[in-house]
Amino acid sequence: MNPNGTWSLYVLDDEANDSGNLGGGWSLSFTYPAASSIVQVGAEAALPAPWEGADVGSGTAPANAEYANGAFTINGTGNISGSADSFRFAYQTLSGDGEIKARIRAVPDADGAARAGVMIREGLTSGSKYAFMGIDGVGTFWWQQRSKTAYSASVSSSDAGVAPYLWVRVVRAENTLTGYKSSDGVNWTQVGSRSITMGSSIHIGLAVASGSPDASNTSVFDNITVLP
Amino acid sequence: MKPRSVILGVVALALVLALHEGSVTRRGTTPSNSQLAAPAAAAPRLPSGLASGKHAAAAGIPAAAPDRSRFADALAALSGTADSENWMATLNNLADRVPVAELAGAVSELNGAAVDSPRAMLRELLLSRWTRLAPDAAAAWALGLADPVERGKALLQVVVVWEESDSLGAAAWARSLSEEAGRDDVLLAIAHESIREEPLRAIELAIELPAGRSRDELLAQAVGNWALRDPRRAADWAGALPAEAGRTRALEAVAVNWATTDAIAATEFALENLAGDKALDRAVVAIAQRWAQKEPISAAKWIEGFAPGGLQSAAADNLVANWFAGDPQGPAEWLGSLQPGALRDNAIAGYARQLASIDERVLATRWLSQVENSDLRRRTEEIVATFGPPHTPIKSEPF
Repeated sequence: MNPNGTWSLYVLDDEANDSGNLGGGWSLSFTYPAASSIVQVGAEAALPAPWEGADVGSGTAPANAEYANGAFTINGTGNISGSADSFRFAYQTLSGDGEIKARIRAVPDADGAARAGVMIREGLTSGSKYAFMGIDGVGTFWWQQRSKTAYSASVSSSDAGVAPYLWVRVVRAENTLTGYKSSDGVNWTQVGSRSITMGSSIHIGLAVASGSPDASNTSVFDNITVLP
Repeated sequence: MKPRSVILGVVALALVLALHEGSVTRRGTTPSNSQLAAPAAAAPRLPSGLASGKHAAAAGIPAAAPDRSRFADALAALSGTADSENWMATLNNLADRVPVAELAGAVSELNGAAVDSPRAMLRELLLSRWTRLAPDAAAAWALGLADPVERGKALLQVVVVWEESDSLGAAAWARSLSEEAGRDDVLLAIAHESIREEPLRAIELAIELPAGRSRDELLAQAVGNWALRDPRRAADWAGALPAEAGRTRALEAVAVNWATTDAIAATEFALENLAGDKALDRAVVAIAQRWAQKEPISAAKWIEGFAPGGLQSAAADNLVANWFAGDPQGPAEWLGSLQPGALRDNAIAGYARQLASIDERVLATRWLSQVENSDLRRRTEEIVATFGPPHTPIKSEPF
């Protein structure tokens, strides 16, 4: 059963009068399974090759990614945090070393826990290893990485940037993942670096989360370069 | 016993435990020490050492008051900042100081911590250490957690560490779980962990999982990693997959990763096996990216043969970006050789963006003057203008 959408609860009054109350009140119990790492992939017909789109983890609000005139517009929900992420990912395959850089046109109009940025990620499951360089809902740069699958990510912040001068970059050189920020797309400042052992064939792309499972964040990226 | 003797006795005990831990870790086997057994998950019981504060004091950790964690003071000092990278040294230190016999109790004590909190991260470090020493006990504890979300997370954390030292044991235990207890998610996690070193083992595990998107993704990633080592065998295997078992994704993964070692063979494989599929477009551009890093002129000639359209534009853009990364002057001669048209316009636009990224905006603008498509030229000029601080001297002229 798909739990998304609007639920309705109906109470049938089979007594003669249209008044009264439910003796002892009422309750409704929900039984749900553990958070699943199942990957949900939506239709991404608008993305140019070799890009694909996926919902990593389980958000509830609609998420998608579109491309037009050199810019990606990505609508994501959820959180990139803790031991299990949920967010929208527009990605391609990375074989071995590589890098991605992009400009984020605007600070996400969302919660402070929102994220928009570039990511190198081992798998599409919610607890997968990753390295992320991006911004939050107030423009602060964040370097985040998970070095062990299913364990909490560690994060570090760096001064806030000003839109549209929000450039981010992640580089993989063997097992070293390094995050950079820039205000001009030319001069880059390293924010963090970490040794993370990942597979050889992994994923590289753009990640967007809203900071909440039931809200959305729409972020626009341009000037994207991927060296896979 | 004199106080000094007490201290020496405790130090000796700690050394014995440390040596025991070290030998267990090296062997990668499970100790039979009953001290490592899990307390009841629903009602964690503090070990006697903790209750008396004896081991905690010996380890440099304050004894716990009846109503507070023994870690409270150290953790409270960390939570003033959201930058958890700064916590790790302290947390690792704390985790290492917990006596082996008290790992189970300490993990339980920190259960239910808020996401991204120091308590949650300390619990993970302790759980990881406990799992390395006694995976069966740690797994049993995780399985006994009442909250299904917490249980699911803890199970994955246990098996990921277990798999590092004993993949077969971890998988055997996972198979013993019921479907309701998350068997498939646990097996999926073990399989994903196996991909790095043993993609074939990951494939074996994947076959045990129910059909669906998660399994397809797992298979594609495993066979993609296999293709980096042995593309022909990976290709044969992927080609034999039933269509409903994610064959197309697996074939695409083979083609893309094969291109890192042999772009021509990868191209032939993609054209033969992915014809008429969206996956073919993705594979073609991915091959162009990888080919451009090693033999850009050959890749460029290949792309010239494409029919004009979105695929050729995407391939040209990625060709130029990857060529430029290795040789910024490299694409210029090829661009000058192209006949007027969409390919030439798109490739020049891509080159102009790359020039702007190294602060050669004036040169980029001169190249853009050669673009016939006025809309593309205008849009790319706007992009070029977004890069860089002050202009720098121009080193070369277009054409």
